Amino acid sequence: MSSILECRQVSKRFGKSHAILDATVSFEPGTVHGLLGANGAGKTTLLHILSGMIYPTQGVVTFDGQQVHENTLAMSSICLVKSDERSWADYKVKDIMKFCSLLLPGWDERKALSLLQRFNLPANKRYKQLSRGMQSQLGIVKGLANQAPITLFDEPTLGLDADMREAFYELLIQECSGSDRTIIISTHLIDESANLFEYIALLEEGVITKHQDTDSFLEHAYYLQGNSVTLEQFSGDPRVLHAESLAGTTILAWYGDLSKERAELEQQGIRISPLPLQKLFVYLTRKGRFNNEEVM
Amino acid sequence: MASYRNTMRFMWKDSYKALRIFLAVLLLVDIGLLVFQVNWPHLVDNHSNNFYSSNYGAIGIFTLVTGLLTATVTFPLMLSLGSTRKNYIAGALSYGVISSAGLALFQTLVAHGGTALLELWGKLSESAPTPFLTLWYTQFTIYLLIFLLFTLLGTIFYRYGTVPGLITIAGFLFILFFTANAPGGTDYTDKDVSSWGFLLAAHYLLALCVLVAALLWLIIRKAAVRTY
Repeated sequence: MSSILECRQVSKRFGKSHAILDATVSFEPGTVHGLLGANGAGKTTLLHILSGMIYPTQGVVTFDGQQVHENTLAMSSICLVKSDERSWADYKVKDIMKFCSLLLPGWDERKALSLLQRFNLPANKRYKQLSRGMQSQLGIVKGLANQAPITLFDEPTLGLDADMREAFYELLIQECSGSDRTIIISTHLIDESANLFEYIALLEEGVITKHQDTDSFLEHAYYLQGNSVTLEQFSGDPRVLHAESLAGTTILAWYGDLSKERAELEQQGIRISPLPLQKLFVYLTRKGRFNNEEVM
Repeated sequence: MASYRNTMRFMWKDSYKALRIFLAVLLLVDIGLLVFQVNWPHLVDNHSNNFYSSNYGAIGIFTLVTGLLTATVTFPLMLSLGSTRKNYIAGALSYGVISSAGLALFQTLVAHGGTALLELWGKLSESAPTPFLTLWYTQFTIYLLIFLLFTLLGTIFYRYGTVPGLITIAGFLFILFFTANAPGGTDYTDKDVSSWGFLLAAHYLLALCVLVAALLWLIIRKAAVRTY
């Protein structure tokens, strides 16, 4: 399938430091991508570049083959939902909705109204008077009511309680099912949203280190749990992301091919289970590939 | 074209409330001044040209604030709603021209209307105000220049930060210091309103507006929206 949004060798420098370095990634239509990275990895900067709000220092971003920056069609087709919309601060919710209806070509008024009701957002309150969670909800209304081909959510669930986060995930699934919309979500609540992601893009210190479908991303990620003496042989193995030992039992976080060792390990009583996405992300982004943590 | 029309509708929606409140307050103050002029003329300056002089400063400050807000609020707001920098600059410049023309028209109507009423009631002690079109044109160029200069200043603060913004203010003051009293400069006060020099000064201001608008575009065309 051809990509709808693509960035090629994009770099962004702020002063002497690189926020994004040589990022090349493409997004297919009708897919949901998780953009994962530690704090300061460059997720927000990358989303701003993809939406045309920031110019890259080098490289190019294209929407449907056309350059995004200063392209009226492309910029109105990519909707960025920021975690904090400072320019909305002094406007009432109803004013913001009016602005959206005037400037966003894909704006669905009825959907916006129903979402405002669903989230119980007061139309006459100013954005800055809303709670953090309500501000996030208003961003979600913008992202979902605007039927843009590409929607980028930057930390959309910031400040939302568990119930509202679930509501957002449900709405997003409804929105994406059977549609060609491409959604890119940056979030730290990985376990919660893992089921949404069809693809994962991993950003480490400004570099996209992985971008692949979630199933193959998790295919070779395991927990190995069992006798410390048996598992000691893997000390220093680059496939071991993390190790923890407690009273003669060791747990290894494993990322890589296990087909050769699997049968023998299972015979030796080692329990092999899938590694959750959040844990995999934590271990992958943590500095140092092997991190022994002796407890006791 | 549809996108430009929507941009202008957005600009109008964004500003009409503040504009409406400001003009209503200004009109009330002017009516108050008119009452004073009729009943207690010794309390107010009764020269017809200066009678509504407080309006000039008030409209100037309103235009200044509008310029700053256009740069620091409207720019990120429009880009967050899918507009391009070109759409923004086209909208902001059109808004600047229309609002400056409208405010100048308001001021001219108030000055001429008020003077006509005073004349009607026999309370006018001095000559008639500056001719209608001349007054409107000169006010228009002044308000437009204020709008553009402060949009430029706000843009510099927004794009480059506080220190470059303060340096720009110092630059403004430096230029003003050396040009305000220059022969043939843009100071209206020493010119006869019916003279060519009076209009020429307004033409200079209009040319300066074009220059500032070009500078504004150079700064905005690659400007980033803040990520925080």
